[in-house]
Amino acid sequence: MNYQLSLTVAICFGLLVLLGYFLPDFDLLILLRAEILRWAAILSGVAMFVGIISLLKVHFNKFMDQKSNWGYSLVLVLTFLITFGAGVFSFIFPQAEGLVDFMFRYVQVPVESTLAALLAVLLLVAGMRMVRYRRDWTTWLFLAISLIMLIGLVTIEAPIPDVFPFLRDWLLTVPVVAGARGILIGLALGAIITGLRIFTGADQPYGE
Amino acid sequence: MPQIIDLIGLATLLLIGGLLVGLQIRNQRRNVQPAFRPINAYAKLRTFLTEAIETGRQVHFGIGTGSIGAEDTSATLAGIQTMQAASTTLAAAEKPPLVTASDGTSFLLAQDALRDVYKTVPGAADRYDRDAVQMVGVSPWSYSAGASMLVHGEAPIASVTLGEYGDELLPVLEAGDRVGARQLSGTTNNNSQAIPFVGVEDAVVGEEVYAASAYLNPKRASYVASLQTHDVMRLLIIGALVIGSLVMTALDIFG
Repeated sequence: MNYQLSLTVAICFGLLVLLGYFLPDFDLLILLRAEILRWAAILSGVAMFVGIISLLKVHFNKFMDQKSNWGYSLVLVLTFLITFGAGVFSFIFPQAEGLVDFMFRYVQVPVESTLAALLAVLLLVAGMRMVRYRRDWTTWLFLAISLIMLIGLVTIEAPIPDVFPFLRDWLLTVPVVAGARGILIGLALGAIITGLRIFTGADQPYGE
Repeated sequence: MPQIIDLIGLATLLLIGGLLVGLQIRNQRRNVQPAFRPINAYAKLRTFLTEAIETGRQVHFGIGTGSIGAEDTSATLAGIQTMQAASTTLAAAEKPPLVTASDGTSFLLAQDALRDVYKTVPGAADRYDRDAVQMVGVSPWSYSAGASMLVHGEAPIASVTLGEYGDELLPVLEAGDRVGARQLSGTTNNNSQAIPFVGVEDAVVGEEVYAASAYLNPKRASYVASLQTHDVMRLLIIGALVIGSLVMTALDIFG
């Protein structure tokens, strides 16, 4: 019974949103579509809240049970409480409204940027490892093209043969664009078919 | 003009939907067992699952940093469906898989999907652990940090990361490599296709991400029908591209 209900809701709401998108001249469909999307945004916010509670619960239990790396769990719970406290504080006292913004700008952004900056090092390590475990022509082609691109991108004045910038431009405008478009078409088809599988009730990722 | 384009879009969608339903009904009636093109990564995934059951160690599933309701919904669903299909086998194992998400909606759906599998497989209900699915971060890079940490701490026997991932995937793959996990990875993000290719031995490229559930569960008519529909549509697009190019070239020369 629950399954039939969730399936009916999924199909009906999907149909309304889809028709609202393809038939923009029907005002009622547009209104319904906007309303459904608003509900979805609210539900998404609630889901995020549930997810954060679950995250806290998992880390609190890890800290209480003194499991491996429990120190990091403690840091997570404490920083959550501090950030949440700052949010409540700036809600009660509007003059402190910049507090959360400050924390985001001077803690969250630098931490995430540092992680992203490590990517160059990680890529180099992963590239070296790739040569170790996959010694076929695809690896050598990948490395050769990486080298051509890197040499072709050099901006300082250096005695680099003209063939490198030419090869770089040709690679970027012909094989890379062709390959990327091919992958994109395949991905788009995959996305549409996966969506339609849910929409037609052929698949039910949700439980009963 | 925009209305004509909208109608063409709707007609294409109806064509794909019709093909999908038609092929599914045909597969069910004739009990079709198709021969798939071999994809090394998915052949190995079966081995990973068997090893996980034998050793009692967990398998990590990353379902991507996408969400349900945004433009990356299909990629997230593909990640969840792969986890769901693999969990049907893993339900026999001592421990449930570890699933990581970075959004509330995908977290709840993954939790629901996993619970459903453990409820359906006989005798598995008491092994279900709701904390097996964790939302480890709320942004791509915080997910990366959280999932890396989890993989490093729990040392799973295998780590499967399929879904919408950007560059943040690489630290997770690096963590998996450090703990010696067997890895399979693929992303639907066109700009980050190189990350799984460089990061793991068994990478899946582009649309192959959407084929995982069919490879894991080839007896299910809807999964097989979706691959067949994909192939038919691909052939139609190739035909349209070739004919279009020839017509344009002919117009350039003779027009």
